[in-house]
Amino acid sequence: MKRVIITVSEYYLDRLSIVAEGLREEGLTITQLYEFGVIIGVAEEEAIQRIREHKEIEGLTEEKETGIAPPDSKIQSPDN
Amino acid sequence: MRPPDIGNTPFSQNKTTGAPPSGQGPRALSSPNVPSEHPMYTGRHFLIHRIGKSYKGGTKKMLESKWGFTVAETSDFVTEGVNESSIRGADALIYNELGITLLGMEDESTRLLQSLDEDYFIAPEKVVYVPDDIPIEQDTPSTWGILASGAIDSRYTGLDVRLAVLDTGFDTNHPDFKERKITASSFVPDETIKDRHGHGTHCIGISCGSLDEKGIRYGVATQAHVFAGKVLSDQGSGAQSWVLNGITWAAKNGCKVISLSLGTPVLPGEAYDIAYERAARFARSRGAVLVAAAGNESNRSEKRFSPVGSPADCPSILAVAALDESLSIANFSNREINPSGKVDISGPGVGIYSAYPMPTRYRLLSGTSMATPHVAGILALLFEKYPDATPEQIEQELLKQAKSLPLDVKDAGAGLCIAP
Repeated sequence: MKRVIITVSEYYLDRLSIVAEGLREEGLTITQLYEFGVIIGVAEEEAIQRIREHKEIEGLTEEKETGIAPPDSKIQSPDN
Repeated sequence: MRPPDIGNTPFSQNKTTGAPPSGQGPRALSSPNVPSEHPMYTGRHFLIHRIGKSYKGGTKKMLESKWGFTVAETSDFVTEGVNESSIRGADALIYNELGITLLGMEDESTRLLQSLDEDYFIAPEKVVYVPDDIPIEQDTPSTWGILASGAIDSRYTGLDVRLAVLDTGFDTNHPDFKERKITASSFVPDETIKDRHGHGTHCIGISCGSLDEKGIRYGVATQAHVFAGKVLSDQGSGAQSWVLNGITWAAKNGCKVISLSLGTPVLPGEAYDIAYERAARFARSRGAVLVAAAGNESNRSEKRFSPVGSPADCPSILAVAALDESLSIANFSNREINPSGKVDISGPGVGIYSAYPMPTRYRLLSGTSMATPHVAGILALLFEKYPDATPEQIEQELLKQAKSLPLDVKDAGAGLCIAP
């Protein structure tokens, strides 16, 4: 199971809930739905491949980890 | 064309920028909806004879015959002082003792007058103001960042502007913030807003702090309404969806500035993240400007340059690079390498003193993470100065006011951020 971030094409924003329902039918479990057309969910790899092909999908990425600079770097230390 | 009468107040004639004949009046924000609050000229002009007071004849005759003016003179006022309302209807007032004449003329007409007679020259009448209140902090010692960015000299404080800092949280018990308006929310599952890392408190200190316990100023927008959103765990990392939650929360709660001192490194050739861009556009549609750290992966002394990271590389987010005290680019500061990942502006980012969770209370840190909240604070000051401006207008003004530096735009963008 992978956590993915899906961006729906702006053209389909007025039908977002219908698009979301379609993705659920493909096997996506939706954890977050944003009104600006981003959907967070989890799905198996094969479902993800199918979803990627949907014409309503502008982007699909695996969720990235974000953060501040590595804690062991010299940056953000009092010595700098 | 009949010139306007003297005796009408200059401001009743609906002048917008009041530009003098040379065309160099004060520049208002580039939108017809935002008029200049401090015009420099009234729109009227002084006619000054080159010989000065000793010149006796001529001016009155010249104005009356050549121009058909009604002319008043100060010598008409024997017992009372000169008051414009007493000469309502006059087109010109001659100051007999001074050898100058006040004309109620529009700019175009003065050019004609100037061409007529070389014995005279025309000067625009200035508007005088009570000087701005000296800000309390003027003699206050401050961090180099507060000094260099001009925040120390600004009369703006970000009063009532909601500034969101999405980071590792905030030490809501920090003594320096006892009297401040704080709204806090955690988007990290199973963690409260409490900042056990320190980074978030430091960034909130830079953008929204005021004075430390010794009276040293370390914050930019000293009266902003702080919106502390925890989107990074106490270990300093977070899921992208937490950041999206934080951006959405800030946008829906009226935040005008959203500061993101976080990111993910990107590879050369990598496109910007569409989900972040969508969230940013949503926030902008709600009136917010977003700023993010360009990233610290570079090592310029070893000739290693990394591209501006994500989400700073999004078109709808301003990317901030870091400068050191000599206003050189910081060794670690990322650069424009991918076409959409431009550096927009720079801020003080090396050796920055700010708040830290108790009991440490204060700490010195370096990073594009420290540069970003300097810009965020300045954006709050701009929103206070121009409360009805759009995000685009505020960004234009920020970039326009930046101090241009002898640095590559790919490293420093428009230059050093400067407070209004």
